[in-house]
Amino acid sequence: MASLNLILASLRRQKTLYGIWVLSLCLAVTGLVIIDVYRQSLAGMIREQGRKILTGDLSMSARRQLNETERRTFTAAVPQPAQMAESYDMMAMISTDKESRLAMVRFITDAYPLVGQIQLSERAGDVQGADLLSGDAIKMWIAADLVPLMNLKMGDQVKLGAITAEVAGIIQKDSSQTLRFGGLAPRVYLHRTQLEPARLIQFGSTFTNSLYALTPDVDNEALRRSLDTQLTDPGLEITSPRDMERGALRVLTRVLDYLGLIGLVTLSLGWIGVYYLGRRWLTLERTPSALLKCIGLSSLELQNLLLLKLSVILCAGVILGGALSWVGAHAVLPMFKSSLPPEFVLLWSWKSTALLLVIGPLAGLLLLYAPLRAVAFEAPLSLLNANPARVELSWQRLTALAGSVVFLFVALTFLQARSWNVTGVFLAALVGCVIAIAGVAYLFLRAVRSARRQRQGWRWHLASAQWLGRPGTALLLVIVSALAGLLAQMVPHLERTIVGEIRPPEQGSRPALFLFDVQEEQTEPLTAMLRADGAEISQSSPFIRSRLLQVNGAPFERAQTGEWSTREEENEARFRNRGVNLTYRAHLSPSEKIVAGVDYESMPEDQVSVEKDYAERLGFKVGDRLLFDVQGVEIEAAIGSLREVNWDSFEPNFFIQFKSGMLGEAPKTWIMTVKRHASLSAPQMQRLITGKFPNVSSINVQEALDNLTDIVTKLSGGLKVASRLAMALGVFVFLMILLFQLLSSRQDWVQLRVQGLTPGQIWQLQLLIYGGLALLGTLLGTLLAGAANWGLAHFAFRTHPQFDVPAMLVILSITWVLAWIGLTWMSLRQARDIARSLRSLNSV
Amino acid sequence: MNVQLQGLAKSFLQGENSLRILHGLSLDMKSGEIVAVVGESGSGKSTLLSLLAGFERPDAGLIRWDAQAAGDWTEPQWAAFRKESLGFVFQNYYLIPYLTAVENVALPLRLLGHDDPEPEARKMLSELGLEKRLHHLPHQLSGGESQRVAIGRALIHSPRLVLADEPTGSLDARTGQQVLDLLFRQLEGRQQTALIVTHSQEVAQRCHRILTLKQGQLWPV
Repeated sequence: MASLNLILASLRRQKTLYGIWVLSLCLAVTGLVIIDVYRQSLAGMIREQGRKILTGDLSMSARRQLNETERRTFTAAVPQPAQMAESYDMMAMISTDKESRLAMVRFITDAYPLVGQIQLSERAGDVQGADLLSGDAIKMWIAADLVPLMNLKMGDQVKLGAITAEVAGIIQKDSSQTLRFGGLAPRVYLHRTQLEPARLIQFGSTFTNSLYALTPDVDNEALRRSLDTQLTDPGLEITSPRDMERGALRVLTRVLDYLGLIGLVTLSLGWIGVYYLGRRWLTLERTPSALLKCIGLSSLELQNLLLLKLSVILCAGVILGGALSWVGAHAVLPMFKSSLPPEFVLLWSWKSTALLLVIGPLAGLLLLYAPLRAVAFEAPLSLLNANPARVELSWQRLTALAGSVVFLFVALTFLQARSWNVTGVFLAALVGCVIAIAGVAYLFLRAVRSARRQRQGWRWHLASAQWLGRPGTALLLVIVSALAGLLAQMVPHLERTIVGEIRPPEQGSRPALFLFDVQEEQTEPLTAMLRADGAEISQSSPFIRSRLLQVNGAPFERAQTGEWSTREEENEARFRNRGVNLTYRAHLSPSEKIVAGVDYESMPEDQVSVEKDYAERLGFKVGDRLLFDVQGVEIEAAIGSLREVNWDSFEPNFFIQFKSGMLGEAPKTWIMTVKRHASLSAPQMQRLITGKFPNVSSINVQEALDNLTDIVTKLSGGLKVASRLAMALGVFVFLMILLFQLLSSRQDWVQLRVQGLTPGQIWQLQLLIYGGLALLGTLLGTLLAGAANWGLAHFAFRTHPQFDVPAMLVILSITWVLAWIGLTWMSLRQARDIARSLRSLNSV
Repeated sequence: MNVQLQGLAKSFLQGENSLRILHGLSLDMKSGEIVAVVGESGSGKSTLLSLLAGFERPDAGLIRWDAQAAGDWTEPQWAAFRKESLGFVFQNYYLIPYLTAVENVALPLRLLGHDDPEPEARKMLSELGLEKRLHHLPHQLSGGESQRVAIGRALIHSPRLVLADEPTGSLDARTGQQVLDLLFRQLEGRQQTALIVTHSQEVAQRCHRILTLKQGQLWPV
């Protein structure tokens, strides 16, 4: 009770310190918790919606026709009688007299969807595949996105392959669709009976065949595991609703990973603030602590009292932080609304509460426990007599303190990134940046020390004395402003680089169309037709489907889905489980470069060249022997070389390619790119091709790039918000450190007034001391942001960096103006305070 | 409280050298006696107070309170002793900055578990002439007022021993005199044993006995 009274009295009467402390913690946790709220809400939605997204309790799918053995195994595993459905998905061109467009076509059986809803605008209630069979006409339901894109309405006739279907419904709700990034290929539904008449599936066509089952009251996870062991073809995918969480959220969770990393930098800035204020608090607690010990509190009781007080502050900070995060999550929702499913609602999960408690109270206690214990166990008279600005720590305590905080930070980084590689790179970059900043700041202080020996004016003399007298604070201020500047400036640069790569100013080299599913016998007439209209095929590559049977004699089996703990494992599983598409070409394309193994020109015909990242993910190396099943024929080849591929070139490129010869006779389709044409637009060319070759699908490259740009812009919007929050917090922490610096050096400023300096001169001096450090920090941050953009462009994106100079100038100006306003305000307040002190003899 | 110190020794390490502060110090104080300890700066007066309060452990020697040996007390035992039996007055008052005058004075009683110690604290402050300053925070009090609050806090729980370190050292002569009057009136009125460390002859003269701390030992003046 006595403890509580003391704590409450202290909180009531030292509002400024505790208020700023609570606010600092609140802002520190907000960014990361907002991201976690989105992560948990999405995961919660998918958990809720998993069955609806899957449209059943269990599914089996492959990028080929499911064979009878597989169907029998799947049906036998499912408790009977079970309701079942089937679908075929493929990209295909749909066209009217005026428009032609790529669509994701899904042929469905009567009972589809087994779970979830498809709702049409013209019809009340849910529909199922069987509803596509009513009447004589061939019916089609189209996604609402297609209506404005193709100027479609109910009853319109739409050509698809060899059939013409009537638009019988415009989809208002499709619970199987989760995230809506990009509308490149809107969905279209037809009945399964139209699959053969449409003649879209020809030899080598790209499609997915899925079988769904309704298995209520059955442990689907156990069923999936059992099927996984029975069906080992890597090209086959068994999916339960739980897997949908990972699959459906892949894009968004990656974005959230990176947002989370920015949130971590914000958090570390906030932690610097929390630690700084905590040390300040402990300095103020020295006298009360000494007295309480004199009055009879034991060291342990005092430690517990201080811990309780610290916990109250930290809890207040996280409660406010939680509330602010919740409001913030709602505030940024409109930014992402268009990319999220309509069912998405923000949810507060216990995991977010746990995260709050870890990054708030737990981290705060870890950060401050050692100095707090030092105060609690220090002899009272020493507490009263020692220099109150310092709390000495033994190296053991410093090691324990630093070790626990580093461990927590590494764990949080891994939890955000779910990748040891990203965790390692991120931490190395962060530590590297801090070392670089500290190094420059150290050189600055050394230069100041040298320059001080020469005769200088009084401003420089006093400012340099302040920097050299408190090098730790100077360093901290430079690090905080540099990190905030780095984050705020890096995101606009990166966005410029990525968008510049997607949409280079010189787009002449990019193809206009990307064609796939071109049958062997269609290549010549298609080329001739285009040539007759003045268009030209720029590149064509054979496309050969295969299965990888063995690697170095060992069977290449499917990775278990749904059990990944890192992004690397997830990537490995995804790459392992997809089919293997092969090609052959005599010479490398301009977008390829050999990075290991033999030169491509001299590579023997029984060797293959493998894309470098693909090889890394699957653990392949030069010399490994791969055994493929190409349409029933086994072909073995050794890895002769590894290649780097510029995937942004939009040229047909493959993970595995033969030189020629061995696959020359294999059954294949072709992938082609069509050059840009001076007078024929890409949609005109698409209509031309679809008119004569309805099974050939084409992607309008420009539209795809626009789509990608739109995605990048949307995603970078989130990153920008996070980085600006980091910048705001950086400025806040900077000003907060400043405030307490000014307070703790109040007597120095009073002395300067006594010596004859005017308030204006003191303001100038403070501006020079602290503004100078802010200037140094933000300029360092700017340079580091540029360097980071350069490094990422060269090594991660393999492109030329581009710099957003206007954004850089705007951010620098805003930061400086904010710092200037904050410093001037504090200086004015202090001037009034000093004036009061000068009037009162007692205080001077 | 009878205080008995026998052969107390205390050294500190300063760098690699051992600095001998107290060396065979002995003292007997009877209950209700007020003893002044004078000595030059650095003679070990603060160390003596630290040993008496249990903040430091002697390297050698005995400390007895009413014939009870305190030499092997644990830290919680010392803390309990301070809570119940010790009062401290410092040169710089050292009030808790976020507690009002009355809250500062009531604090020892609160720590002893009293539910409502403030009426008693108010009474004590009235005796010290601060009835109009009850709810002022330390920074709103003058030096003399702050020291009177500190005296109130040191005596409120009727400790058996009061330790004072230069109680008037920060005050002007007139205020110092007033504070001293109050302190001695309270100590003598309550028959409390006290050890006052001071440089001031005036303070020392008012004590029952004056000792000087020299070469690590106490000598009668």
